[in-house]
Amino acid sequence: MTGNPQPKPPRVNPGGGLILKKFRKRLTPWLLPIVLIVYWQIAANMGWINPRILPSPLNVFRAFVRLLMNGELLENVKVSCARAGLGFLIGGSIGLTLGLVTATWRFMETLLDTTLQMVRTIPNLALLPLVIIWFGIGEKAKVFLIVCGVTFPIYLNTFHGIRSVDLNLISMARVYGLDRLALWRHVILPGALPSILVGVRFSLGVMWMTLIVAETIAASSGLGYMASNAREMMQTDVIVLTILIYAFLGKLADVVARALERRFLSWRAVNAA
Amino acid sequence: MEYDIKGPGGGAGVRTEGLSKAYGQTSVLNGLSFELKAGEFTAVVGRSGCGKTTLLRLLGCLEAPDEGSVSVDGEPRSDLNPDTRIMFQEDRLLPWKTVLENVGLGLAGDWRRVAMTALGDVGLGLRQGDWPRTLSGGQRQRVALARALAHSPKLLLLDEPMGALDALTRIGMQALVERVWASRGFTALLVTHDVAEAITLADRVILLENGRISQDLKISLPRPRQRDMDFAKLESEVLNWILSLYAGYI
Repeated sequence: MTGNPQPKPPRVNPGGGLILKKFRKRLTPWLLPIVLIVYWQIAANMGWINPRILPSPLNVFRAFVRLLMNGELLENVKVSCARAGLGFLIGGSIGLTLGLVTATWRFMETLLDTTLQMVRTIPNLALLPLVIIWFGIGEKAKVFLIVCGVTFPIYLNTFHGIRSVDLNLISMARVYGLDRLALWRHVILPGALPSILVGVRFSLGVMWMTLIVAETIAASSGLGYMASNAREMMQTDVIVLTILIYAFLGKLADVVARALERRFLSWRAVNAA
Repeated sequence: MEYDIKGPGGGAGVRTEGLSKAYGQTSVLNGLSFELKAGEFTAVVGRSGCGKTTLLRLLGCLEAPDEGSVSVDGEPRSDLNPDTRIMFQEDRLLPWKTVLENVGLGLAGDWRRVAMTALGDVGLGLRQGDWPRTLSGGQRQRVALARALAHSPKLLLLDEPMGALDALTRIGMQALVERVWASRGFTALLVTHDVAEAITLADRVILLENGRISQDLKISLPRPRQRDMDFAKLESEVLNWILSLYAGYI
């Protein structure tokens, strides 16, 4: 009997251990960024990095406060977000409509799909020179480019989502007396929604990228303009700040998309937790 | 259109006249004529490919026959009708609707109350708010049964709905089907390859062979049926029919 290991007494740690564990779990993902930033600041302070190449985190923060106080930052963020939102709304509507139409009517698929598949392979930014000639560097140019970029991911995923709805469910719904409208509302659209939301997340990425490039090259306002303007005055702190704000806005859009998925796709196992 | 809620309306009498169906060159049903009495429970057995499921699809008007006709309660029938409901091999629940919403599918008016009653009848009233994916296979088929019952059908067509369940769950499900059939009095047609299941549930077992009825056996064992000597005798009789059909193919 002596060889038997004694059962370990259960760890007495009422509540405290659990909270610590949770805290650690939350903190761990941020550990690496924090270490990097601290190292970056030290390197800047020690003069290892030329501030004209890369400003210190503290200087970036100072630029942030400065631009926030004189209102420049908020104004530019507002302009950029308005462009992004408008382009996304228009492009998303077009993509959704096209997807619904082609997935529903075989004739429309035959008529449109080949053309759409061809056009979709053109990178939307390739249109930039042409767009500048057409619209100048005003609002229309940016919105147009975003529309071009956003339409196709949403179109493809809507089309695919509707087509991949289980035909057995559709025939069941017919037996149970659902008319066309009810069939769409209760079966086809909810069935296609996971795929449509994948399209939304993808096109949000395209949206920011298009906006950044378009604003950097051709704009007189907005975040991209702020960055390219700073470049001419060698304000690296403002450039880095702009990049960080883009990252923040991109993350924000992703969080919104995830929230939509949690809200509408809670019936799926992956999102239940 | 969505259907109004009706009370239990008993069963419908069904008559088919010279029902034929072919897919391409393959003839599946050949001039099938028979009658189902109102409230009767009939099982159709036969080897796979004998046309069982096609027959069920024609009765449910999911497909139109090439020749012949189906009439229900004396009325010719060629389109989907709210008094006929089908239980499929798969549960076909909508994963994005809760159990209760699935049961209430296609109901109008006070659908919650009706769906809740049907769900209670299959013993799953407590799961009303759950997602279908959290249910076991047997529970999902019970929800599918409740969905059919919620419409108070006069004719219930069962397309091997217990085929995918494990043996114990299947026995429970059979008892449940028998109970709701007895209390609601609808006409039932069960397509199955399980001879014991057919004899457990049916008043009458039909053997389908090459698109025709080759045997028609009345089962008059008392319900609920025990698997005793009489049961075993009937079972081996029906099995022998089917096996003698196979003899030609082996």
